[in-house]
Amino acid sequence: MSEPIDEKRADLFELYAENPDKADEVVFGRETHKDRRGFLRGAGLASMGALIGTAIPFHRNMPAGFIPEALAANPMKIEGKDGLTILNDRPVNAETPAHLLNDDVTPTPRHFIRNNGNMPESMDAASWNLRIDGLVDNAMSLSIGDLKQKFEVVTERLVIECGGNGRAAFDPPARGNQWTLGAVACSEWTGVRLADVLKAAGVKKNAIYTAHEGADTHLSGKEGKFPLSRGVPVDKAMNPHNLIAFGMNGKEIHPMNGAPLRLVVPGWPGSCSQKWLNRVWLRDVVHDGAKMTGTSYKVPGYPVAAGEKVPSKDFEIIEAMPVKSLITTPQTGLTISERSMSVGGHAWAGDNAVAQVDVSIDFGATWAKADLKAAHNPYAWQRWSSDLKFPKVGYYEVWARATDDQGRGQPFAIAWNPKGYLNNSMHRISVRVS
Amino acid sequence: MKTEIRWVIVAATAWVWAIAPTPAVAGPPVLVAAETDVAQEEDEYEGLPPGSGRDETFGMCGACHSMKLVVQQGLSRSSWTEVLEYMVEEHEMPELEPEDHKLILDYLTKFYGPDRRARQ
Repeated sequence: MSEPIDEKRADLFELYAENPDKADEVVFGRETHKDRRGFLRGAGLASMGALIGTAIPFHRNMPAGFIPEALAANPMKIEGKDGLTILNDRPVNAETPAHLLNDDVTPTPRHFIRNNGNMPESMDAASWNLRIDGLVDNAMSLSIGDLKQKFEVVTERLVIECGGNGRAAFDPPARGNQWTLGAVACSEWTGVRLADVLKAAGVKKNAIYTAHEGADTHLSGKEGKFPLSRGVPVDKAMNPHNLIAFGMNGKEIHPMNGAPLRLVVPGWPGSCSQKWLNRVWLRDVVHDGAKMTGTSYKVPGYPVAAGEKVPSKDFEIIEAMPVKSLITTPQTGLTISERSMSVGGHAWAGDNAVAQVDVSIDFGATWAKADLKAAHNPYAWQRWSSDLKFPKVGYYEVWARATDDQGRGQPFAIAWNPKGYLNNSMHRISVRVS
Repeated sequence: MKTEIRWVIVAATAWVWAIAPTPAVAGPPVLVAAETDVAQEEDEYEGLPPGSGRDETFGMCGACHSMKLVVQQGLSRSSWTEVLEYMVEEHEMPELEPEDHKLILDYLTKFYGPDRRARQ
């Protein structure tokens, strides 16, 4: 073995996460074509074939940074992450089981991962550059040092939830990653206010929408094609709780959560919170970047029947996420011998606050008001808890229902929509009293 | 021949574990422990079961994303048709030849149709 010691010692997945092309070279002697499909040469092809026990059809199609399923057998290890359920390994998409989201501040290892493209090759904080341009009076080019020096640095607990969280429960199913409950988190983010930066740039009167760009690349490898570039109306962009963040839970941002710089636009679909942020530009039209058009992150403008075909023109862009709650303790499936139990979790409500959480142990026939704490800051989730008493032995379901300060509660059933967004139906866990 | 291949697998697997000294789960290498030929073959295709159109599906979809994205789905034929259109229009998949289009659509609909979740 002639590879340098450091590379040999690196965890396989870490190596692939950091630099897939290099990892391919080290592990398989595989070079990357311009179109990013990896090509296995001689011994490399033989060893990968040997590793998975057979020849590899279509090996020319095998992309760079590809780990054969046989090698990537679960549990897959992602450096700096712990306990996540891997939905997809290329690109990596992973969610957190509900009972591992019990912390008021979601630890970095438990923050979900949603990738649309390939991670950037460089995430170097020292050389990172953010451009603010488009319809502004003073276009700016800012280093992370500039951001820290020129603007007030703030730290807030902010909920980020994927627009497709809960998609797995759709019937008929909707395409895309089948998120169950855990594509949501509330970590502590440190950065500067997007609004402060936009004010310094001077947003022109005719600007109505932001456009966000990141350094990740399209899965196809096509140059200049963005995997995701979304934006928000200027009014929302000026909300003082949107951050251009360079810190996560007191440390640097995890590479898969957008290091070294990302937007955090809490309360709206996570896709508004561009990772690996390198440009925000202002436009006089609704931004038409990747995943802003077609039916991406959109729902029909009126209620539809499950499975109904809806014309594209009838879809509207999702703005604030709906009120929702999770039961994070205990874990579902618990058996207890006592007749009482404490239950608790978090509740959040898009741009609003949660006003009340109720709990039922009889399939929704009767409800008891839970204890609900105020948010640490706006857009943080709120802790709720309740002490339950069970009248007799048997099988129970604990249901939780949050209601926001506009009087809107969580529904029993899913408001079905073709793309599987915004499932805020009630979370329930099972408990057996023996 | 078969014995030779097995030795290569053992040696190569040991090599990978050597560069990955902190496996999440200790124990015999998963590859050697593959229970059946079918399981081993499905591993080769990232879990796609054998059937007409598997090579084409694996080759086309796997160029950009893993099969883990495919095997999560349970879609009707018309929804799979839309997915293939979407991949061509938005994600740089080459336009499929009619026979490949049918093979892939047949395969996806057969194994990843709406009743898939009920069977899991």
